[in-house]
Amino acid sequence: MTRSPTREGNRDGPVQVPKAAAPGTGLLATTLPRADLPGAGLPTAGLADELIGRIARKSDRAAFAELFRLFAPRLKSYLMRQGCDFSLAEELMQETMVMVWRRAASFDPRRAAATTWLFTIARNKRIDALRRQHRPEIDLADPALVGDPAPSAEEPVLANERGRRLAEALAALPVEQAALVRLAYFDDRAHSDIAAETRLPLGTVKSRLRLALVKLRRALEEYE
Amino acid sequence: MTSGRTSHRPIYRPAHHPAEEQLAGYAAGEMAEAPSLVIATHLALCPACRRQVADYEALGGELLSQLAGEPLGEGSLSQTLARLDATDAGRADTGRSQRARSVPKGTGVAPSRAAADEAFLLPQPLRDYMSQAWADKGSWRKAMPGLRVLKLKAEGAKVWMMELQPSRPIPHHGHTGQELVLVLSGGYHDGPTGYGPGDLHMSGPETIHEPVTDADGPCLCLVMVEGSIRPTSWLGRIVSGFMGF
Repeated sequence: MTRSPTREGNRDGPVQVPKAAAPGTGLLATTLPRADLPGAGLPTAGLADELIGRIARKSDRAAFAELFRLFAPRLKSYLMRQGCDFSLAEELMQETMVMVWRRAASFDPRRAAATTWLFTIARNKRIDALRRQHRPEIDLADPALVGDPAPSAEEPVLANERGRRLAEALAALPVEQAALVRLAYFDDRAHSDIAAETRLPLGTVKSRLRLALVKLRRALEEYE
Repeated sequence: MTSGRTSHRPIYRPAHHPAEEQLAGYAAGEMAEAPSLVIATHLALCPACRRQVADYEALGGELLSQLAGEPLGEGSLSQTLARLDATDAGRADTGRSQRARSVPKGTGVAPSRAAADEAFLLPQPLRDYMSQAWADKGSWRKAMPGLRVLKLKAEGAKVWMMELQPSRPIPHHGHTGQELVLVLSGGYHDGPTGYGPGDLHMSGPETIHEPVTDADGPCLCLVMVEGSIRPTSWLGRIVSGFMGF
């Protein structure tokens, strides 16, 4: 994440700021960055790795507080886009961060970037809480799991490098495709509802989304 | 591709995979429980799709890091720090439940003759759903000669396990929604196309088909259907009745 190194902007600032206007619900409103709010700066990936490592090794509360400043506003934003109101999003964000504390030792920077790991924890918390559904997941230690014949020689920098490459590919997408990708991740509605909102035929929504996803994955494959 | 009928699962690589947006939907957590169960079970059998889902989770992380933050509640950090006191700084907590490791009795092995030659283990997360079915006093029901079904419970669609004897047609049917069939052991052909262990067979509402199981052994599948099944033959209607649709 190199595009906006403004993390210092909120490093020492208060965590609480006056309540801002509710996020827009329109398609464009979900895509516009809002640099006026806390957490608008993009954290450097290596820093997040290091903070989680310190929590895992030393139960380091200062590291936790720093990670909280970086990610709590974003996690809350993610939860509000999924339909949580302000107080429920706050509650689920706090639960997510407690989970981060408890599971810090299971974070493996060779397997996933810190942002990826945080995303999966928040995602699962949301599914449990909002849908009251279980999320079926594989168990990597399952004896019935079919192993990977060609495990990639992953190094700690690789996951973060892939994140950077994804960010670039995302920035290169046409605006309407990038908007659909964001909706696919941040909007708990059926494609048909998204089609209605964007006034596009359902088939167009699906094919544009697929096109965008393939482009993003191709960007990663070219990198390999 | 050959949907090779080998019984050595470790060397079988699925040739029929979920669509790009299904893998992304699963990674994003925007997919209902029932299709998620099918996709996750496919992932346990398909290393290639696991790598794709990891990419889509990375995309989720990237999108998260690009979000503008929401203002936090008053005392948010201090409240959260106080909650850490209540929790063990549990380094041992990897987030995986213990039950994932143990194999409850009667769930690991496929139901009958499908298991006789292999005694293979059903992958997670399917094992947990089988356990739940037994806990709910579910049982295999004979839908017609050579076809047994066991209902599973997952939100969003109908899901069941299906075991077919060799060389059996699955009665001619269509569906009002999407149908997902994941082969767990054995195999079948739908027209010229073969499906073997780990293969995901998707058919949309417009499809009317009559797959036939392969001759060399029973076939065990995980099946999900959105909406309802529209049997197009008298036999299909009888089977649908038996299966409770």
